[in-house]
Amino acid sequence: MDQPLAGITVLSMEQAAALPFATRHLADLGAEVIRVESHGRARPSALSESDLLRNKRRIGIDLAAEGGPEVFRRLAANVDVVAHNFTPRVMRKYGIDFESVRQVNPDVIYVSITGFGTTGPWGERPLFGPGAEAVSGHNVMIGEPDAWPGRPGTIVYADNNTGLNAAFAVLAALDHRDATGEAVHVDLSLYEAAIAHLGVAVTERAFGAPLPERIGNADRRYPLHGVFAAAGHDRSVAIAAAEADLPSVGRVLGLNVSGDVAGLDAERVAVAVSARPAEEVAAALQAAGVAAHAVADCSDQVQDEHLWARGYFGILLDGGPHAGPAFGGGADVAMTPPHRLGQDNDDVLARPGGFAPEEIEAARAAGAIGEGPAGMEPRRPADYSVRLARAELSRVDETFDGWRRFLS
Amino acid sequence: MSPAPRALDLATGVGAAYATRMLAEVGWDVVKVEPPGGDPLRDEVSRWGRGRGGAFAYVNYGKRGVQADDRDIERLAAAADVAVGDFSPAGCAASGVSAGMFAALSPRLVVVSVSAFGLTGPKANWAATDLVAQAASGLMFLTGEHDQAPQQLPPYAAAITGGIAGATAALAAARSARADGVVRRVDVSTVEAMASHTYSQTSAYVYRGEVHRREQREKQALRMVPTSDGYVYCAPGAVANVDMRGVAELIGESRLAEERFQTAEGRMQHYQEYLDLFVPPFRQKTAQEWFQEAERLHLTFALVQTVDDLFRCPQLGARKMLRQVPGPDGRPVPAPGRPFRLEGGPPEASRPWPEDPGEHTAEVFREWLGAQ
Repeated sequence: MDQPLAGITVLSMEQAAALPFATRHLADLGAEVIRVESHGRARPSALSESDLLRNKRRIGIDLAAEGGPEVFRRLAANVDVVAHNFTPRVMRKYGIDFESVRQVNPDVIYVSITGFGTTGPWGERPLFGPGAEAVSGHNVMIGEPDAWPGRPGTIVYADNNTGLNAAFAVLAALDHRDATGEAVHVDLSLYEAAIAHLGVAVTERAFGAPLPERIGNADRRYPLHGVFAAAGHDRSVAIAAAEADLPSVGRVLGLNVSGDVAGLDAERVAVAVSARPAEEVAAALQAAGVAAHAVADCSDQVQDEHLWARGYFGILLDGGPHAGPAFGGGADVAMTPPHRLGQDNDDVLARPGGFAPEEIEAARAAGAIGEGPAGMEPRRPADYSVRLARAELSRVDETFDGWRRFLS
Repeated sequence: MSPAPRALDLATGVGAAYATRMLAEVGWDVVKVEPPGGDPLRDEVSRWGRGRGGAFAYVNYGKRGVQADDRDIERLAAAADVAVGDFSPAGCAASGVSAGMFAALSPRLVVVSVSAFGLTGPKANWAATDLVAQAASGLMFLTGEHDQAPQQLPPYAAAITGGIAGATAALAAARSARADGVVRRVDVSTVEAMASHTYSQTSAYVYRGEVHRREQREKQALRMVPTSDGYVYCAPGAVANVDMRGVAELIGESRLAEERFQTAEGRMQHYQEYLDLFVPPFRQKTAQEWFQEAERLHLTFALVQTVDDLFRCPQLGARKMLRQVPGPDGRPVPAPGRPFRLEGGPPEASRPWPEDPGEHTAEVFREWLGAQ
């Protein structure tokens, strides 16, 4: 993808993951994203945040300081998009809610990401991503039938889903603004975005399906559908076979089914798979036209020839592969590494129509703008033994640069 | 006001269809071409059985339906701004679209493909279902509990994610194409859309060699706790490493306020003792009661809702997030509407899915092609 949002400026008062994921997509598409944080209590950025900080400018504004809200409002007057993921109450308190910003920027695209939305009886309730997965109905359908409700992998699943919907909504709102000159308030919640994500299950229930609950990896539409442990630690393969695929599955796995596939049950498949490498089983099934894939871990992912051949990964200037945008093409994204909080204060404030040098100094002296600590340490801890003993990690590789062979 | 932009949907199945459904939700005129006999998704039941047609209804809301041969598809595409389909070998076979269509179609702005593995690369011809796409993405390895197999997500999680990614890419590419007049082609993979969720785990491997896995049951137990009638999501704060004093007060167990239980590491070190104090008291009240009491104490608990709870949710009602759609017997049933509310901005979709394949063929040919 080229840079369709070149020339678009986004002022984003963001925290946690949902809005940063949205604005990262906008930045990957060429928008200038100015990330606003409070420098007052800032800590060094974590490695896990580097993907949410790439391609962004970072300024420090303390809204609680004298003149802080005024700095935000003056910047908001000259951008295309103003976004936040704080509560509506915070934005009203500092006079930077939709109505206030619209008075200084009549065709602004204003994005609010909240737990439940800015209106309604639950509108002021706090909610974070993992809670959104629970309350939206995701968790009751994840896991084995006798287990407690499960959760989507990563703790930012609902956040990312919300962010992706937000990026879409901003693009649609920009098109609308360009055509009509109208301001738009995008009011997006973790809760509602998660329900839309679950829309197939919800609609099927409304159409007469049983109440969705935990059934592990089963799926009643497929005679064979599951995840089977393969040879080696933490290795498994996912297989989904239709009725017509069963003879092929039997042949590939060396199970004598000879036309009668009634005996090809999950137990026999599990035994047959358990002694073989997951990749080998998947490749053999695929060669016979059966849907299967090794359950990839993050080491497999960053060494997946297919993903590299497609240019999925982007390369930050620090050299390592990073997740591309959700729609792919990371290799075509110009990726600049994270800035330090406040690194862009002077540059952003001093733009034409912005702040005079003495105003910038006054804002800094009052604490309205400031800088956070430097550094982002991808440091490797000395001792993994406790985390490994608790099985918090699958393993820790001593050498972990196998992906370098794809860089040339 | 300029006329609504047009999208031509050539897909069967979920992913690409959801992309154009999202376009319909921001004011686009979307026309779906179905193969003879209609999209097989019309007859699909749920993962749990029954619920026939629900998936089709959800991802095709807001569209008109036509039937058209290859020649007519090319004419319709030429009258559209964007054409969207699953142009993988399997996708083309299912929708009856010829294999060269991705390269041959000439809409005014953009062609988008949404398929599992994408159209290029060594696995471009691999067969996939949503389960298999999730497995390939790296996300499934992280989903579930540490003593269970990796778990699948709710239905069509990868396809829906690929769909919203495809819709986003369509709007982005259309913006570029409007500027320079060159048709863009976008090849979205649902595997990559899911892989993009795992950026933290990717970096943890690239920079530290850590292979992250499914969370421990123990850690999960700190979060969804069984009550007298179901589960409540217990969260003393936004992140795991917060103190338990609020929960101690909530459940009337003062020992939980002891120093050694106030960090995640401390709780892990005294794990069994911690669980014995923490979990059993929740059996005394209903999930709803715990949730309300937690709210009074400003703890960020959440209800663990089922789909049926959503139908009764006052918040969704107040925000009109669920809309009434024609159910299987013609009577209205609730289904999720636009994922966001807009003040100003483009209108949301205002018609249901095409009741029959080809329902709007004559009307669309007249409007888009000027045919009599």
